[in-house]
Amino acid sequence: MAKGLSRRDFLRAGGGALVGAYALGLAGCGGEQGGSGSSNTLEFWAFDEGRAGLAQAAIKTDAWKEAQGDVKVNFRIFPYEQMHDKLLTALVSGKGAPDIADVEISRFSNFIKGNELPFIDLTDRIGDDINDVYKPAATDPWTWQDKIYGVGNELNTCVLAYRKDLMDGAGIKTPFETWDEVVAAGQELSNDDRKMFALHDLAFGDHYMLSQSAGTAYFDANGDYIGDNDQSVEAMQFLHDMVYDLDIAGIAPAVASDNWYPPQYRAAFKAEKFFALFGPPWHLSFLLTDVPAQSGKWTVQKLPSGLGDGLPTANFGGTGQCITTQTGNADAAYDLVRIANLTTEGVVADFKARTAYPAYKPAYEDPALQQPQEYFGGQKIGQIYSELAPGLPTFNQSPVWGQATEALNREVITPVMQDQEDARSALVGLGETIASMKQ
Amino acid sequence: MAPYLFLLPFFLIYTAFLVYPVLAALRLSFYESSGFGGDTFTGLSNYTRLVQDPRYLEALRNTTLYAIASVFILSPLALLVAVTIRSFVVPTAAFKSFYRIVFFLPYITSFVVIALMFNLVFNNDFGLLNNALSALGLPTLDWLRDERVALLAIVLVGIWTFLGINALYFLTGLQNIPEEVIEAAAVDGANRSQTFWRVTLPLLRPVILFVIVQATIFSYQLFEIPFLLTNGGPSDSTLTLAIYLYEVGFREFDRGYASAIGYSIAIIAVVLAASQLLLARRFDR
Amino acid sequence: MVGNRFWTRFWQIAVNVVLLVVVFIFLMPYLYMVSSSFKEGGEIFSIPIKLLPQGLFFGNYELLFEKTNFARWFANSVFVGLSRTALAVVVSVMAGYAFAKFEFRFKNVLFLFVIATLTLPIYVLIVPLYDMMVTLGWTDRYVALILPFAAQAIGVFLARQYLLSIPNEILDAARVDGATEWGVFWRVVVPLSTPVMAVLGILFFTTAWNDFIWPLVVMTDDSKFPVALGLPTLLGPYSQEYGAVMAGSFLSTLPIIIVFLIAQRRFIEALTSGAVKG
Repeated sequence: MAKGLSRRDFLRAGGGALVGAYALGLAGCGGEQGGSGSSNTLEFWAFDEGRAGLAQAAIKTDAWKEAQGDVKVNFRIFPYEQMHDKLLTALVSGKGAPDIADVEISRFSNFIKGNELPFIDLTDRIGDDINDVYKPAATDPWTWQDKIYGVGNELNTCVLAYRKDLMDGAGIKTPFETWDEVVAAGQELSNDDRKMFALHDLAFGDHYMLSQSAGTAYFDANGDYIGDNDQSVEAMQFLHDMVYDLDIAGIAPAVASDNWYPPQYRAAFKAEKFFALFGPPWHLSFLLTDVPAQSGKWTVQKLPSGLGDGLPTANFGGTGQCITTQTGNADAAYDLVRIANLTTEGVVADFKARTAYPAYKPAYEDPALQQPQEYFGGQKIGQIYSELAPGLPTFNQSPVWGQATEALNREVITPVMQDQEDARSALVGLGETIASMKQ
Repeated sequence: MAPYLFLLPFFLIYTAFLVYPVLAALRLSFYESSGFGGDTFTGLSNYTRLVQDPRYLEALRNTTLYAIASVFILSPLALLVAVTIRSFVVPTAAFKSFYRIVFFLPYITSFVVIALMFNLVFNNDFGLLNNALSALGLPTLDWLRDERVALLAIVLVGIWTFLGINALYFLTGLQNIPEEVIEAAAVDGANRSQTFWRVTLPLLRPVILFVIVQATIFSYQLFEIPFLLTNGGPSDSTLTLAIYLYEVGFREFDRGYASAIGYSIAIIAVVLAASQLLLARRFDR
Repeated sequence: MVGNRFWTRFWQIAVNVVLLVVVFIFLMPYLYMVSSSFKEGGEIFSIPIKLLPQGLFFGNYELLFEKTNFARWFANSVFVGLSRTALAVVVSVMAGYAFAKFEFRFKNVLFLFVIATLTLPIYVLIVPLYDMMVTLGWTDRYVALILPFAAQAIGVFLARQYLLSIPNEILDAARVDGATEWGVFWRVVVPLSTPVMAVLGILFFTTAWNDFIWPLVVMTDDSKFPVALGLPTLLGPYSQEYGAVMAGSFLSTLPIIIVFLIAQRRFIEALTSGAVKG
């Protein structure tokens, strides 16, 4: 675009004159130019210290030192929303983006609109390594039109977790085979002060997990909305009933800016306001850090049956490392992604740092992942997850995924969980909203 | 030449960093520009889409409610505070200055800090407000998660934040009214309330107009408070036009439509401000 | 009259009691913020709520200064805030002076245009403006935080309103004495404008200090963050340092309050002398 170039040159000249006239010396204070283009430095953007730790652990491995030892990696950490927005801005304008970025599963859809993608196709680079990962956790969320644009390392196998000491104390038989048994236990142990579950009214995760366990999803393989089918409605209705009819659940203490497990949610578990939950490993991890006093009292099992198809697990959440098309050193960037996510050395380092269960299959042979976990009464958690992993439902990405799930929160989760709308009509209504979204 | 030289520095910066982006956004509002790849010219379709978009209309409704609250609740409250501080009931200069400072503080506090504080104040279980309400034996509300009251919570934070600056505008207006005029009214036998309604208020007219016009303009740009406190939720009950613009532009990534939303905000604000000015002029005659 | 004095006293006490209650409500969030900054770990979210910390815990402040870049963020905000404010005040007063005291072609059109841009939300401008910063190579430079928002329409408006009230005779007298237009501006107009400069100073400094979205978009290097951008980075799914964020919020609000306390007399003076005559 010759025209654009000349306009930019004009701006540069004009801006230069302005700096000269007004801010003499100020520009000098700005320091060096951002170095994302130079080939022996990589810029890495993350929204979470722990997640950045995954890559930080990778550059300490021998594999990295051997492959790209002279390459320096700069880590930048921003709050979740802001990092994605900032990344989008930088990619749209064509400059200023990092080499690698952590992209969260529900935000990835924003980057696959239009006919050019701002990330590098990694399919060929991954090659046969693809057979060593659980795809629904490692690559499905960052896959679009059969090309892989990112790799994740979190095995998001959802499980049911509960205070086994309370169950045993009341003579309740565990593990639970069906949700009916769970409900019966919940009714036995819940009272005005204490409920079994904390169900979310600002986030769709609970329904997302249960509807997968019931055998369905929001989109089918063609990208069409199927969230209004019977299994999905049944899951939504069950969530509603647990709060309003069965009296075994309360609304999770959360806020819009932090809608899954903010400090007040953790504090409620600490204060024994709730005694069970269902979720993926990253969710359960808060128990270990924020509720240490209940160590040894919790236990984990597969999801019970009785809801739709009654599948034993579900897939929820995840973040992948994507390489932007603005990178100056795609080879080094991919080596980092590969070592962090697709080597036993890399993922075990991450496991030791923040107990993240990897999506890389061979890692489960490592003794670190075979260890019994004291917090969960000596259960071999790694084994439980890896046994559930092959049953993870596939994930179908859609350019409207992010928008659709936000609409789901707005039009279904909040009104139904606040007892203002019927589950079926809300889920049917959502179909119309999604149909009006631009594909 | 002199006036142009005085204008030059301002207009240099202004043209480079404001006029150009404003025009770039205007151009974009006539294009389909979503996703990576090229833009296509689509004429007015981004603008016609506005009136059929239920979320836009919801945002327009919420923003308008907030603007109405700014004009009809916040502004009179600010006037009341200003008149009270100015009047005999606050006797010493030290007291007057103390109140002024306290009421003004929120205006100079960052929105990020305000949001952090009010997240704690409005919290359903731990929050200061609900603890106070239940201590008084009143029913508690889940301020930020109940769609029936979330907008009210935003209005309350808005009042808290902007009461001081608006009261200050009124105070300055009051101070500009010559003492003699008030004394003359007293001599004519008017009591305090008559003086207020018949003398003070009419003389305050330009300031009232200024306060209302700027309250309207800034209400239509309301962003940070609901964005940080409720993220526009629950169920869009606190979605404002500016938040919707931000969502469309940065989340749904539809920059052409986002620009059209931006211009619609500007048009609404200009039209409302102009009609307020015209209405005021008509009252003058 | 005894009765009259009684009622005056009565109203004074009654109204001040009400006002003090309102003041208490206004200050409550600040007290909450300060007390939270001295609370340890989970104490902020303990059940039931405790208003006062159980003991003065300085760990949040230690964490802030030892583990984060807080001191640097603070210095950045001071530097950026002062530079932008100084530039914006001078530029606004110059332009306001031209609009208030000179006749020239397109004066009203230009002025209306400047005012009309006030109604446009800045979020529309972010992407094109970011584009420019990238082209100029200004991302991650302080100049990107200082220059683009140094031309503020509201500043020109307020300066013009204020300068309208300066009598032309004073300016003419200086001109008769042989002063150049430039000399008139610096020796007569600027000294007379100190009150409005105080208003603009507070306004611009607080905006710059509290700016969040724009620094977020243009700044990447966390050692160059202003404090309002740095603080929220302490909150994330894996780092729940509410206490430290509250401590940082408290410390970052303090300078604004101090600036206001120093400038407030001037501020009120300027407003009363006609900066907002409508």
